[in-house]
Amino acid sequence: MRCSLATALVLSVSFLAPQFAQAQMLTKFEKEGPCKTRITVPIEIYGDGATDDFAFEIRKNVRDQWAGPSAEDAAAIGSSLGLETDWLADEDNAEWYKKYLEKNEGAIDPEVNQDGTQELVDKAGQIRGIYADYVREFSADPACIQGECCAVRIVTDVKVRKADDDPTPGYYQIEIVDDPNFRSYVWAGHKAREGVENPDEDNPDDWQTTPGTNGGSNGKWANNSSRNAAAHEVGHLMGLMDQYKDIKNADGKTIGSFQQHGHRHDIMAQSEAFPYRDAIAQLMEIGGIECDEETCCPGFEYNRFGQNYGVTVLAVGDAIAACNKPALRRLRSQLVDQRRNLMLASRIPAHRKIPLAVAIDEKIARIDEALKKVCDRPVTGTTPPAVTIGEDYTPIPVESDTDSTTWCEYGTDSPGGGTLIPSGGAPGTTPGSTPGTTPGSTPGTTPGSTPGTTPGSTPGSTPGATPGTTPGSTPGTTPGGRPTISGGVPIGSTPKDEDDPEETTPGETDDPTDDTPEIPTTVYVKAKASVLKGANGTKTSEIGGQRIKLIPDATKNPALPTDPGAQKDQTGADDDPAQCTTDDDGECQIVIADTRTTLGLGLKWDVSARYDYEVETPQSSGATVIGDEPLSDADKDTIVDELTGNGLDEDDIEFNNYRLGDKWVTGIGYGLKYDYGDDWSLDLGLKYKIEPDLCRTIQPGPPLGSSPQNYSAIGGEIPGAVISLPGHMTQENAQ
Amino acid sequence: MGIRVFVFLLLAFSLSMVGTGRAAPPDDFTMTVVSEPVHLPEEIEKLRVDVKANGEVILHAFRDGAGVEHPRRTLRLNRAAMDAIYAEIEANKFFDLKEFYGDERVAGGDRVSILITANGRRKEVITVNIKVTDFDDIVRKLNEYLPEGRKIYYNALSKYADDYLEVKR
Repeated sequence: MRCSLATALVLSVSFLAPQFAQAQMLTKFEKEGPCKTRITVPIEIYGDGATDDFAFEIRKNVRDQWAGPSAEDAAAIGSSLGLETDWLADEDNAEWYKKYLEKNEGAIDPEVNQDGTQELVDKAGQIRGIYADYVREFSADPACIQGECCAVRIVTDVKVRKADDDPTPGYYQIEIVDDPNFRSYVWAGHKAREGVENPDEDNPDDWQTTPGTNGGSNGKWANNSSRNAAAHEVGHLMGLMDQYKDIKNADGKTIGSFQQHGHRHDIMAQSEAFPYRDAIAQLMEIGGIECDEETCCPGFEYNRFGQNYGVTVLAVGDAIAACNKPALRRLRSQLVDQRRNLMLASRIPAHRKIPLAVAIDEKIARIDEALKKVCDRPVTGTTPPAVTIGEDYTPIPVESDTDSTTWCEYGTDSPGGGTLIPSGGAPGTTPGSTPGTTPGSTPGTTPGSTPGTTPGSTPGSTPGATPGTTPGSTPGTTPGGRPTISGGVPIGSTPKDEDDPEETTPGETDDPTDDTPEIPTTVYVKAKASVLKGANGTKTSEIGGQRIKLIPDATKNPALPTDPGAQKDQTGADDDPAQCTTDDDGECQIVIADTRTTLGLGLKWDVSARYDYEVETPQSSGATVIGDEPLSDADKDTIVDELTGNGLDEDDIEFNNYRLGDKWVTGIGYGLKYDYGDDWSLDLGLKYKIEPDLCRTIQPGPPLGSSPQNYSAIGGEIPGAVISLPGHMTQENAQ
Repeated sequence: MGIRVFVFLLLAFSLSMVGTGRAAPPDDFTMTVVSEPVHLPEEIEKLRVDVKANGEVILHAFRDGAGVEHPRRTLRLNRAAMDAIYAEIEANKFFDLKEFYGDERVAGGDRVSILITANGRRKEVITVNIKVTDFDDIVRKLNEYLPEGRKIYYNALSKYADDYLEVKR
């Protein structure tokens, strides 16, 4: 029992009976090796329940509970089994209890108390079994529990004596009572842990127990092995405090107790539970044992594994979402390699290997499942979204680059993942009409057509060739080479200045290089996608907030100084990209002026044409949240409400927490392919950004051995799609 | 003189009523007793008994220390039993007990609470790892009327609690 410690001090004065004494700490702390500590708890049992069999039960119970997985390891394994691991989250106690009391009007609500952890209790045995398998695989010491850095072996030296025999010096004296309903206890006081200044009365981590004796006894335990009571009481004999908290009502009256938050499955809080790593650290402090972190925690090597895994796992989500079997097979192979290398790494302690191995195994299992099931299953309703770029946009030898997370595709043979579909053009034009040609003419507009094959084109012309240098400007262009359409102002051009004689004189041909900066042209972009709304069919919606960039080829693939014989054009490589961000209607405008030349825009191109680019895109079937703690229940509820409100089945929505470095990653699966934009957090008001699992270009990881300041790069901006516009529309080949 | 005799007789009668356990519980009487392990703040091993003025007793389901599940049961006490229980409450001046008794030297053990409503008053008393005679006597009296196997148990009532601190009230 641990009520107010302040009260405890008063009571310890008033109730100190003559026979009670603070006993010497009999627990022995010894260093077994540079990274391993042995803690021996000497116990002598006596009384009518003290038998050799029960002595064995004590030893077994302590070994089972204190040499298995830590709570953190259990959480990692539980997460891989699909269990919630919120119980590990260290929430604000004061705030939580305030809400608790408000909600329950001072009554203890067992449902709240349990907080949905029953399934962990049910699967505790399975978790221990899985952990034991990993321990064997990684050649860890199965008799140890892994702390944050060093391993600790906790053993009990249990002897049985007759009640009339003299106690053996150096052994805690525990009476075993022959009554299974007796609630075990030890005599113990408590004091602030060494080195803790201004201990917090409500924080058990600031205190330690000091075993005491009453009439020569250190405590009484029931001869009942079903409660894991021995493991809990041994924790006290080693100096650990209870990790539960008294609940007081508004009048300050104690009305019950339950686990300290963040310790809901702490062996020092309840029966079916696990030791926490910070408890291991406390034990070493109590015993005066120092752990050499440089020797025992080679973070360098571990970081490398973590980084490799982090990079790979993002691609796994993308590949699963895209059902890209070749990528999945490749990633699976990578993960298997990482797994093997992790197993072989000799300088990484097992407690660091195991959670990562668990995560890798879980991802491999997901890939296998995806390869077997998901990717063979036709996904209903994933109509490829139609993305229209340019009401009057002429295909040019540049790349349209977007940050969108919805315009991407794996496993396509089409350039850049996009399919160019000449479609209904602007008034007076034929879709796909060749710039500078009569509307309806088609040569050179077919996707993938080779530059230079169009009559009049100049073979070997390069992007960025100076417009207007080729003879034969098409009649109908405005002076200066600006294309027009009959009957009106080009849709895609900036209204010209009627007073500008240079722009109104037909047939005049100027040096387009000189003119280009003076003739701004506007490219209109409209982005829209077919969005699946759960089982309610599909609908088309505009995509807002998407950044569209027009990037010169030179920028995409500049010549490197070390590239021998590099003769590539680097014009514009250092220019800012021509770009715009779509509004709520999915529309934006890119004004091309100074960059027109470098973008390769010729003077003969048809700005009046409209071109649709239909891109096969995978839609998200999951998302990821990365933060300092697992996603809270409240946030989960918000997400579930949002998804179910849009037609998804709540049963299809899953959450999955695991650690990545010092971050918590919460995976969100929602079963169906579902396009939900790039950043929910803007809409849902969540603390951390939600990144849908969409296909991303696999990027190289950071240099080996480097340790990131943070993991913000994960989920950072990477172009969602790059659409290479065929280079057949140069001014030259358009002739 | 006559008045003195009358008052004396009235007092004697009243005392005899208490002494024979015939002090009837008021209509608003309710009593709840809960016993649970301190270090297992869970529902398992949490005994709870509710008693109402009409004699209805609810024995809530629980799992005992040996792992045996006990189902929820309801029984009804007769008037004499109810009177005796209420008389014990009165005799031990339950409403004058402190709200909390405990021995902080014990880590683990168990906690017991009695919550009683009577005559518009409501009070809860909690004991943790300590013998409080006037408190424990009330539970002992209630246990007299509960079936075997469903009696309320806690350490302070056990023969093994000979090292527990003991106070009268």
